Amino acid sequence: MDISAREKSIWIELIITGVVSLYFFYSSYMLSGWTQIASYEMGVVVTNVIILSIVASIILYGLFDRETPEEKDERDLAIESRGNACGYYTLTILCSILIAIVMLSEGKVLLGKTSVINGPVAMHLVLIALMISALFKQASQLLYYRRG
Amino acid sequence: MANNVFENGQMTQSGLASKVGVTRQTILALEACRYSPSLELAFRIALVFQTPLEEVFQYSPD
Repeated sequence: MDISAREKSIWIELIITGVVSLYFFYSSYMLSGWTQIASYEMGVVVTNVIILSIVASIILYGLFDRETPEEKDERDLAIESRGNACGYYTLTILCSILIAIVMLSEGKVLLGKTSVINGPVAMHLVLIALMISALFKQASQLLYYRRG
Repeated sequence: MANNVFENGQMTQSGLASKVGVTRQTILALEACRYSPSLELAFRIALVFQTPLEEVFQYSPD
């Protein structure tokens, strides 16, 4: 498969985003079910995320992306723009869903039941929305590189 | 958009890419009709081959 340096770089970004996000959300869910932000254990998880992303970047870019980066041409810019639009629409849809969930959750409080969405959970949901939109952006760029 | 960028076979993909200032993958996508170039790039390619634009690129509405 003939793959450009820019395409390789997007593949690497996609893998790093996926791996690091999965680690973060799995670890923070295992710690407290996403109900805490400021704790020593969460600090360890965030530090691990930073170290993991640096190590993964060094390994993947070192192994697969040794070519000198080319200057972006008109097709690269067009694909980048379409990928950004795709990521933006995904983020907008997810944020709208999140707002609806928070509003419904607040409704529960008014009815005298306990709300399931507190601050830390909402923060994690926003982070998940950001991660999914980043994945959509990168995946759509790769698709446009292959299909034109 | 149909094209016959490499019909005359007088230039490599990398050669044409460096002459018109795009990546080799863009020329590859052009050749496979997976990408429609901007008007400027189309003119630059025609200029490299010293032929009129409509001899290199053709538009069919299908």
